[in-house]
Amino acid sequence: MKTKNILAPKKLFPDFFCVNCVIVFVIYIVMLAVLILASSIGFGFLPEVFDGPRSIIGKFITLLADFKPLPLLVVFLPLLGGPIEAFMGKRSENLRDTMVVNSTFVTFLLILLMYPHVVQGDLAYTIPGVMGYGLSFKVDMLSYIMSVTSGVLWFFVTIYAHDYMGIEHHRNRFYLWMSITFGGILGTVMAGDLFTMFLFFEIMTFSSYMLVAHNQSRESMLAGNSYIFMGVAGGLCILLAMILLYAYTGTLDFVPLAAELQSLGWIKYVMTALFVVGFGIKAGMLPLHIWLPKAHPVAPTPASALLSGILIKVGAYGILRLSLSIFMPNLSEITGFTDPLWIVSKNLGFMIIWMGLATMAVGVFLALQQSNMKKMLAYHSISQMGYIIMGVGVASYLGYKGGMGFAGSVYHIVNHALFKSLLFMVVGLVYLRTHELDMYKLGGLWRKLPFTAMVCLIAALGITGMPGFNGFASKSLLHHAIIEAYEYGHPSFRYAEIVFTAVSAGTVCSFIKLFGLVFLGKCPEKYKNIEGEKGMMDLAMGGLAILILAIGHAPNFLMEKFIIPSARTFTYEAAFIDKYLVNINFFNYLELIGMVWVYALGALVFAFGMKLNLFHIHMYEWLDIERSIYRPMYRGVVSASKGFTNRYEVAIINSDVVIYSFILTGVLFVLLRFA
Amino acid sequence: MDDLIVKNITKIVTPFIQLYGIYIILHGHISPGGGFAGGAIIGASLILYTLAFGLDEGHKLAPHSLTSKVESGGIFWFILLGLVGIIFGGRFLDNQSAGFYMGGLGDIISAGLIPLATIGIGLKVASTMITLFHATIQED
Amino acid sequence: MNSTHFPVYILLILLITAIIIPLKKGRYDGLFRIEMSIALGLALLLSFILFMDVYRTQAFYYTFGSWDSTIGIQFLVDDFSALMTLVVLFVATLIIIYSLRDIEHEIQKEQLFSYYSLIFLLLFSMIGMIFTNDLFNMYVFMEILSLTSCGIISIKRKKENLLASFKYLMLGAIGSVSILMGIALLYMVTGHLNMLAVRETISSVWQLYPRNILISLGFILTGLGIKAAIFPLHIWLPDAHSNAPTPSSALLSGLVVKVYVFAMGKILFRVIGQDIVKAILVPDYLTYFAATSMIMGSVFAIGQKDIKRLLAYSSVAQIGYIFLGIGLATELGFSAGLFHVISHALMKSSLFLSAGAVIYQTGKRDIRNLDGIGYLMPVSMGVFSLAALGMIGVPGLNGFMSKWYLSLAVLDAGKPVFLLVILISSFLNSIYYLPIIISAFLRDSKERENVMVIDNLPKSMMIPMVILSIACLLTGLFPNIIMNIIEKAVPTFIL
Repeated sequence: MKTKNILAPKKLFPDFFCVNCVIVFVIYIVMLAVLILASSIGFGFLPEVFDGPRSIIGKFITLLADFKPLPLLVVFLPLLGGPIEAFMGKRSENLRDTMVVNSTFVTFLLILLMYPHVVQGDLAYTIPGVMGYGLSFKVDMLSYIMSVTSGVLWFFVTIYAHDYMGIEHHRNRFYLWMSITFGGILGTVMAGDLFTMFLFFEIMTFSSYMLVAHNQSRESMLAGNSYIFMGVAGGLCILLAMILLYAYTGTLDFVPLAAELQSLGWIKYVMTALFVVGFGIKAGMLPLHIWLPKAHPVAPTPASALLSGILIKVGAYGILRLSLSIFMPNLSEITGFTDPLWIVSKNLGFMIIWMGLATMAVGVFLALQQSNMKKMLAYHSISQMGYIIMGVGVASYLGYKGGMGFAGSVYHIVNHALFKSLLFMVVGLVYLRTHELDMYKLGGLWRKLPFTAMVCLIAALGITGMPGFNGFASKSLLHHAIIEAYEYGHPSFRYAEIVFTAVSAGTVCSFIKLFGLVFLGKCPEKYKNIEGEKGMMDLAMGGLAILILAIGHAPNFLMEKFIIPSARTFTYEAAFIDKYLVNINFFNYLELIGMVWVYALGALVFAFGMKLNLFHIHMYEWLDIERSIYRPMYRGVVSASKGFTNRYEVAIINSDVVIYSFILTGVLFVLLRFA
Repeated sequence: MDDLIVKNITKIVTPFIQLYGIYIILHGHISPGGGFAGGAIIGASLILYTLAFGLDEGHKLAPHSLTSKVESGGIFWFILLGLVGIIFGGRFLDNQSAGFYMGGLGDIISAGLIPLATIGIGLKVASTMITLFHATIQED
Repeated sequence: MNSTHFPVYILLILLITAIIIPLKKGRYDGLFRIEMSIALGLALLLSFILFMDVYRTQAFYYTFGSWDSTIGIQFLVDDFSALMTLVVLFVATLIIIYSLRDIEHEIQKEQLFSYYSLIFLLLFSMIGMIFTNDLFNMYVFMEILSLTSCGIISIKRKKENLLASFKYLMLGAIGSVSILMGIALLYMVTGHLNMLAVRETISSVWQLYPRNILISLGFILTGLGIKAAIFPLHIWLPDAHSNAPTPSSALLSGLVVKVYVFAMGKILFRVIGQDIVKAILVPDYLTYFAATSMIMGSVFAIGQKDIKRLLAYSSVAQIGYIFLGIGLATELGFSAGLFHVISHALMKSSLFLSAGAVIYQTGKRDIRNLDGIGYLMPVSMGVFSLAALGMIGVPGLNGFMSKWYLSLAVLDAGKPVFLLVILISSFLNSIYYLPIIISAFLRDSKERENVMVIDNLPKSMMIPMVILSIACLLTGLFPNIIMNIIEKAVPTFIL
C-alpha cells in the first residue's frame, strides 16, 4: 500500500494550496464580520455599501439571487464537480485539493445567495416530467439552515482533508464520492416533495457508503456492509411509506395533510412507523443505530466528521420535515391546542420522545465504556442525536405549542454539527501525529499540540453546555422543551427530565475523561518527539472554534434571524412563540445554576469512575442488540436461502414432470369449481 | 447393405415412387396430399436409395451443396410468390387479386398460387428429409 | 410512406437473412458481419418507421392472402405490437453486434453460420408471435421459437449444454402440447381461430360450455407458465440460461421469455376478455404464483456461486414481477407489467453482456473470484453496477420506476399485501447484487495492483453494453416517454 508522503517536505508556504486556503479563509472571516456588524447595526447600511463604487457587485449578486434554477445549480455544482476533480487529481494532487476547496466555497456562497428569496418565502423550482413525477426544489428557512450548516462544514472539512488524506490511498476516489455526497445532502434538504427527497437520499446513502468503506480494510468492509444493507432497508421502508401516502392521499408534497390522514384509520400508523424506521436508521435512533459505532470510526477522519456532522442529521431532518408537514394540520383547520386533528402528531411525538431519551441514555453509557477515541465520539453522536430526536418528538407531541422543541432541535442540529466535527478533527490530528487511537495510551499532548488542545477544550465545553459556548443555548432550549412536555402533556415525562440531566452529566464526565487523558497528564516516552501542529488543519479547526464561540456569546442571533422565522412558517401558535422564544434570555439565573449542578455531578462520576475502574465494564453479550437481533436475522436469511438452495434446487430440477402434472391438475381443479 | 436383390429392386422401383410423389404434389389443390405428403414420398425414395446403396452413393446422389441450395431455394420461391401479391397492390400471399391464373375448378393449372407454392414446399420437404437422414446416420 | 406492408417486410428480411447465411460457405469475416448488421439495421429502421406511423394514425389489420379474417391469418398491428417489436429489435441488434466478436470464443468455427441462422429465425418467430392475431399461427411461431432457442443453447458442444437444452426441449414440448390442447378446446366450442372472432363469440359460448373454456384456459396457462418460467415451472431456466453462450443467454432471458408473457396477456385479455377472467378469479392465483416467484427466485439466487446462474434465477424473480402486474387484470397493473417488460429487457441484457465480457477477458465465472475486477474492467463493471442498482430499485434507474408503477397498481387493485412482497423481494435482490459490486471495486485483487485501466475488449463488445446501460438510465429519468405510449395502448388492448 504505497502512500504518497506529502507530509515530509518541510516547506510551508510556497504550496499554493495553502495560499489559496488562507485567502478563502480570510474572505470567509471578512464576510462573517460584515454579517455580524450588519445585523447588530441593522441591515440598513448594506444597500449603500452596495450602491456605491461596488454597485456592479451588487447587481451581480441580485442577478444571481434572482436566478430561478438556483437550487438546481447549487445541487449540481458538487455533483458534477466531483468527477471533474477526480479527473484533475490524476495530474496534480494540489490542484485537485484547491479545486475542491474552491468549489465548496463557491457552493457555500451560492447557498448564502439564496437568502433574500428564502426570506420572502418563494424560492421554489420544479422540473416537470423527470421520473414521471417531476423534481421539485423548495427552500424554506428550515432547509436553508440545514444547507448553510452543511456548506460551512464541508468548507472546513475540505481544508482539513488536504493534510489528513496524505495517509490514505485512493484519494481521488475519496474526493469524488465526498463531492457527490455533498450534492446528495443539498438535494435532500432542499427537496420540495418526498419524491425528490427520496431520490437524493438514496444517492447520498450510496455515495457515503463509498466513504465508509474507503480504507478497504477488514473492519471497513464489515462496517460498510452493515451500513449499506441497513441503508437500503431504510430506503425501502421510506419507499413503502411513500407509496402508501401517494396512493391514499394522491400527493407527495410537503403540505399539511393531517385532515386527510385522519380518515384513514390504522394505515396512518403503519405509514408513520415506516417513515420513522426509515429515517431513524439514517439518524441512528435506538434499536437501529448499530451501524453507527462501526461506520464512523473506520472512515477516514474527514469523512467521519461529515458523517457525524451532517449526514445523520438528515435522518432527523426527515422525521422533522414529515412531522411538520404531513402530520400537521393546516392553520385554518384547527381551533387550538386541543383540536383532535393533532392526535396523530401527538402519538407520533410520544413515541419519538421516549425513543430519543433511550437513545440519549444508551449512547452516553456506551460512550463511557470506550477507549477508542473515535468510537467514543461515535457513541456521543448517537447520544446527541437522541437529544435532537427528543426535541423533534416534543415538537410534534405538543403540536400547537411545540415551538420550543422545534427550536431546540434545530439549534442543536447546527451546534452539534459544529462541535462534533471539530472534535473529530482534533482526534484526527492526534491520530495523524501519534497513530494511536486509544486514549488510555496517550497523555500530556498539550505541550506538543497546544492549539489543538485549546480547540478541543472549546469543543468539549461546547458539547457539554458551558454557558458562553454554543451548546448551552440549545441544551437549555431542549431542557425547557422536556419540561413543557411534562407540563402540557403526560406526567411520565417527569422522569424524562431526570434522564436528561443524568445524560448531560454523563457527557461532561466523558469529555473530562477525553481531554484529561489525551492532553493533560504525563506524556508517554514514544510521543515525546512527535511533530507539532499542521497549518491548514489548524486553520480549519480554528474556523469552527470561532463559530462555536461566536454563537455561544450571541445565542439570540441565530434564534432571531433563522430559527424563529422558520418556526413561524409552520403551524405553531404565534403567541407561544412570541412569549417564550422571542428575545429569550439564555443567561438567566436558573439555567446557570442548573449547569453548575450538571458539571459537579459529571466531575463526581468521573472521579468515582477512575477510582473504581467503572469505565471498563463489559456488558452482557445478550444485551448487544446487534448480536442478538441483527446478526441472527441476516445470517438466518442468507443461510436459509443457501440451505434451501442446496437441498431443493436439484430435487426440483429433477422432478419436472411431476411438478407440471401437479400444477396442471391444481389449476384445472381450481378453475373448474366455477363450472 | 450389400444385398443384390434389394439393390436391383430399388433401381426399378425408385422412379415409380418419385413419379407418385410428383403426382401428389401437383394434384395438391385438387385431391388430398399436397406439398408435405408428396415431398415426404420423394424424400422417402431418396432415403431408400441411401439405405440400399450405402451412404457414399447417397451422398453422391444428393450432395449437401445441392440439398442446401434446394432448401433455401424452396423458401425463396415461396417468398417470391408472396411478394408478387404485394407488387400488384394487395397483401402478401395474395392469390386471385394478384393476378395468378385461376383456371377452372378441377383443372391442374388452376387455383393460382397454390400449385406453384406446393412445388416449392415439396422440394423443400424432400431435401430436408434427406439432409436429416444423412446427418443422423453419419457417424463421425 | 405507407407502412402497411412493413410487418411483412421486417419478417421477410429476417427470414431471408436466415436462409442466405448457410449458403455462404465462406469465411466468417468482416463482410459477413457487415451484411448481418445491415440486415438488422434495416429491420430496426423499418420497425421504427412502422411504430411512428401506427402511433400517429391508428392500428390496422393485415390479413395474409386477403382471405377473410375468420379463415386466414391476420396480423394486428397496433401501438402495442409496434412498440414491442421496436424494443425487441433494438435490444436484439445490440446483443447481436456484441456477439459478433464474443461468439468466436465460445463455439467452434463451423457452427458459427448455423448459430446466426438460428438467431435470425429466433427473431423472426418472436416478431411473428408479437404481431399475430390468430391462435394457431401463434402456436406455429411458438414452436419455431422453441426449437431455435434450444438450438442456440446446444450449439456449444459441451455436456451440460446438451443436457440443458434437452431438458428445455422436453419441457418446452410439454408446454407446447399443453397450449395446443387448450387452443383445440377453444376452437372446438367457438369455431374460430382468429382471436377477435373468438372474443366475440366467447360471451355466448361461456353460458353454454363453461367447463370447456375453463379446461382450455387451465391448459393454456400451465403451458405458457412452463415456457415463461413461473415459479415451480421454471426448472429449465437456470441450466439453460447459464450454460448457453452469453449472447444466447441475453436473448433468452431478456426477450424470449417476455414474448411468452405477451402471449399470455393476449390470450387472457384479447381472447377471453377481462370480465370472464375476473369472474373466475384468475387474477387471484396468478398473482400468488407471481409472488412466490418473486421471493423464491431471489432466495435461490442468493445461494448461487456462478454468476450466470445467479442472473438466471434473478430473471425468474423479475418475471414474477411482470406476472404480478399482468395478473392483476387492471389497466394500471397491465401497464406496470409492460413497463417492467421493457425495463427488465434492458437491464437483464446489460447484466448478461457485462458478465459475458468479464468471462471473455478473464474467464472467471465464480463470484468469489471477482475481487478487484472493477479496476481491470471498469466499463463492464460500471455497466453491471448500473444495471444491478436498477434491479435493486435505486431511484434514477428504470427498475425503480417499474417498482413504483407496480406498487401503485397493486394498491389500486386493492391487494396491499403484495406491496410487502415487492419490497422484500427488492431487499433480497440487494443481498446478492451488492456483494458482487462491492467486491469488484472495493477488494484488492490478489493478482494485480488496483490501478484502473480500460477493458481490453473490442469496440463492438463495449459499445452495445454502454448503449444498453445508458438506455436504462434514460428510461429511469424520463419514464414518460414509454409510459405515455403504453398508457395509450393498453385500453385498446384490454378492450
